[in-house]
Amino acid sequence: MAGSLIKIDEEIVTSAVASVTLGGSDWDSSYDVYMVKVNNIQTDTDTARFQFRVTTSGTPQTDANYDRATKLLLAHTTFGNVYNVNQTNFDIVGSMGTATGEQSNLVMYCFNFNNASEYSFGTIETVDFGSSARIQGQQGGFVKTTTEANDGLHFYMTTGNFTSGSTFTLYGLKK
Amino acid sequence: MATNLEFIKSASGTSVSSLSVTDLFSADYDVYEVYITSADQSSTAGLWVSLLDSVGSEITSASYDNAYLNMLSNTSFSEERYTGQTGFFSFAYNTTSYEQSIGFKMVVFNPYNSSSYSFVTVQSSFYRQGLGGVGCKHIGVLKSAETCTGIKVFGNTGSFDDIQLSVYGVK
Repeated sequence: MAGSLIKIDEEIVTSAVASVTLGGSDWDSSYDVYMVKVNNIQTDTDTARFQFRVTTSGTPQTDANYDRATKLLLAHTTFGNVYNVNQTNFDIVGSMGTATGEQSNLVMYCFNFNNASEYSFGTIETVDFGSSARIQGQQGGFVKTTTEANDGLHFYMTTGNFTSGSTFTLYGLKK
Repeated sequence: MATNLEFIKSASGTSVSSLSVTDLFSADYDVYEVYITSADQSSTAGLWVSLLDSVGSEITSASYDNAYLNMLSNTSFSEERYTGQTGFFSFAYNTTSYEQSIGFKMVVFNPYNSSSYSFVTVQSSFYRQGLGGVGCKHIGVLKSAETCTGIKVFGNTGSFDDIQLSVYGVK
C-alpha cells in the first residue's frame, strides 16, 4: 500500500560542519505540508546556540521577521513561556555543548512555505539535553512574517560545528 | 512511490498488568512513532512506559527524567517534573466507564544508538471523571547510553482490561 510520508532531502553529518540546509535545490514544491525530523544533534563547542532560519532560493533569510511562542518544559524547575517577535532566527537550544549526553532532537511541521503571498508557519516539538545536563523541550510554533515563498530550512550552530551523526531529514506529506 | 513512515509491529493484551513489546528498535531507523490506541485500565492510574535493553529486559534504573504540561479542560494548566524515575509516565486517568479513553503518540529518538541517550516526546489526551478532558505534552530522557530494543507499557496500579499499540519507523 502506498504511503504518504515522502522523503525529500536528508543530510547526515559525517565530518564536522557549521551548518546544514534542507531543501534549497532539493526542495519539492508539490506539497502543502512538510515534516522535518532532526535527531542526534551534537556539537563540538560548549555554550553554542542551535538555531534555524528558513531559506528562499536556498539562501537563509536573516531579516527580523521571525515570531515564536513556545512552552519550555523543564525537568528541574518551573516551565517557561518563550515568546519573541521580530527575531532574526528561531532559537532551538539556547546553550549546548560537549558534555556527556548533550544532544537535541525535534520534529517540526511546516505550512504555507510555497505560497509567496502568505506567511510561512510551523509547529515544533523539541527535546534536548543541554549544557547543564538537564532535559528541556519546546512545544509551540513560529511564523515567518514575510510574504515570500520559502524552500527550505538552514540549521546552524552559533559557534562551532555539528558533529558526525547529526541527522536532518525533510519529508513531504502527500496530498 | 515508497513511503517513509513504515509500520513495524502492533501488539495488544487483555487482562494484563503490562505489555512488553520486543524487537521494535533496530539499526533500520533512528526515530520511531508509538501510538497507544487503547489503554483501558482497571482503576485510576498513570500510564508508564519503560524501555527494554539489548536482550529485551526492562531498564529499571532510576535514570528517566520527565517533564510534562497538563492542559486541563476544567481548570488551570499544571506542570510536573521529575528526575531519576524508573520510566516515562503520564497523567493518571480512568476508564471505568469510558472504554479506550486515551489518545497517545510518543516519538522515540535514537533508542538503538548505543552511544546516545534515548529521548521521547509525547502528545496525549485522557479523560478523568471529575476533571474532564486532559491534553498532555511530555518530554523525557533515559540517561543511559545503551541499545534499547523495545518498550514496556504498564500502569502504576491495577491492570489493563485492554491495551493496544502500534509502532512505526520514520525512515
